[in-house]
Amino acid sequence: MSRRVALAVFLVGMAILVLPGFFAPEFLTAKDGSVQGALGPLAAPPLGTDSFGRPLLDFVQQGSRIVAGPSLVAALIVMVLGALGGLLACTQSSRLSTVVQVLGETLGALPRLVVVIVVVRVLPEEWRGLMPIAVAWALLTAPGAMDEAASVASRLGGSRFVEAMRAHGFSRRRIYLVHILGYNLRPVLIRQAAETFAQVIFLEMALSYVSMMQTDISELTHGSQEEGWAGILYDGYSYLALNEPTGHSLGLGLVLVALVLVVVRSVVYAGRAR
Amino acid sequence: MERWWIRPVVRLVLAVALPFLVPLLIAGMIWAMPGDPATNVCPDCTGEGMLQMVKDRNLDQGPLHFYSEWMSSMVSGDFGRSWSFQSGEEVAYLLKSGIGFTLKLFLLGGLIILAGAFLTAVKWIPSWLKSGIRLVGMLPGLVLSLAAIAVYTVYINPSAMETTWTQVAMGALILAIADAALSGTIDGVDEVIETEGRRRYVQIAILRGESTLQNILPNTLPALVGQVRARMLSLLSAAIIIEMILKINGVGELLVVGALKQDFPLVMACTFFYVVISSVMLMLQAVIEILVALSIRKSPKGVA
Repeated sequence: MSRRVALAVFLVGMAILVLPGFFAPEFLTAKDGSVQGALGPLAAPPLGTDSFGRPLLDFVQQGSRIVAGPSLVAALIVMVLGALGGLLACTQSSRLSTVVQVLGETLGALPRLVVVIVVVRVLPEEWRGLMPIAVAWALLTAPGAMDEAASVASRLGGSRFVEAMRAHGFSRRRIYLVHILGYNLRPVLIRQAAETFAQVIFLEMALSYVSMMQTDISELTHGSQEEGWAGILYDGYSYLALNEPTGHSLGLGLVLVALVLVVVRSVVYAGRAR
Repeated sequence: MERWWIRPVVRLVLAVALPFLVPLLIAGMIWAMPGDPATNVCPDCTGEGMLQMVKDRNLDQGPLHFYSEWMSSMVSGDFGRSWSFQSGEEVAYLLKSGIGFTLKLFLLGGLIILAGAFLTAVKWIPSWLKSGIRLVGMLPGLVLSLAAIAVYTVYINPSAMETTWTQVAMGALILAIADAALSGTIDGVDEVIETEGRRRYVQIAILRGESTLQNILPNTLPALVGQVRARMLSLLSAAIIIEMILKINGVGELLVVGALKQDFPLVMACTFFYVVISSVMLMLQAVIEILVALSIRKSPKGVA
């Protein structure tokens, strides 16, 4: 697959993931107790309904609205901090490098989900949502990205590489932005950012699913009037375990998961080194 | 002089300090929440009842008092009593029932990761198996767990109330394979070994009839141990979700439900458990790094 095809796949995939969020209804349709069961996409186009007669399209749109922003912000945080880690490895500041190492080791030693769950609890009710979770997750993931970027920069030669390029007449800005970031750190940073993007989406689905299983606790990642993609998987589970006619929900859930994976793979492929 | 000792020493210090620091952070967070901690914990309590509750729960003298009381009783094995999850029940008792399953899940999953790393290093994993593991590993743990619990509920044990070994084994397999845990370990070990294997000293050693692994292991062991530790730390996080979906009565559920019901003694105890595991792994990594570094730097016999 060529880079252009990979980039095109990435852009189309992102559009499918992100755009529906702009058209999401404010509130999900109320559950209809009189509905006998879920309807497939042919009986209730375009995506069918869940066991309570609610259109699955609404789930997709609301889920997209819930995950798009926070996952992109988390990806950006990891990318920026990773870039910083790589650039720091090209300076001669051993003291700064030591400080970053210590901070990185401290954050890297914490079990991420445990910290995220505690952060969720500490936040006031009105601040709760996926964004603080995504930011916490990104900050805890960043040390690994910084380490990897620093390792790539060290393999280049670190500060000696910069000196050599300066001797050839290149400006510092060009060396750092083009040669180090653009040519060498780009594949690492894009891969780390893409993986964080996917992790936040799957984290949201997992936490939402867990909230749905525990009926006496409130939603962790969004308001109670919204449903995310986990709701689609929750409905789909009934098909596997209880033989209910919600196979289309399971299929849609798996398609969404596959779409996220395709988006990640395509951007990593498009951003790889020449 | 290359300061090789900084990282291992930082890791050793963190390994010792984290189990004390993290509960302190949580205690600080309780007071950092908007409003008064006592009101947050028991909004319906008033008058004498509120005063007694505040005193019983050490909420009357600030976060440091709360933390020091918790630490001093924790040292003697008393993690306090649950505030809301199972009000009045000893947290140590709740934790005891969950620790066994969580440890089995984590250790079994970790064993699979370690086995994968070892078999990759000795080149015993064929490429078709690596591709298969990569393919399955693309799926998130949530999806595999749902499939597993559906199979378990329908075909194995429809009325499961108690956690069984089958659930733990399924959970461990999912933990190791999902989210690219095992495939990431295999690829990471492959990359480290291949990169190091291209170095001149290794090529010369091969010409002398020596094995590649024997020569590269001292130089690559710290990197390999670091990779495996990072992977195991991810397993610790993923285990929480897998426990809840597979209905394994472990510490993960206690943590999630305790956090959302503001049962802070339970949250602190569960967090302490996870941080201790992380600290043990950190300490192991630091010790291995120091031993390898000292071994590499030891002068050969007969050299001053």
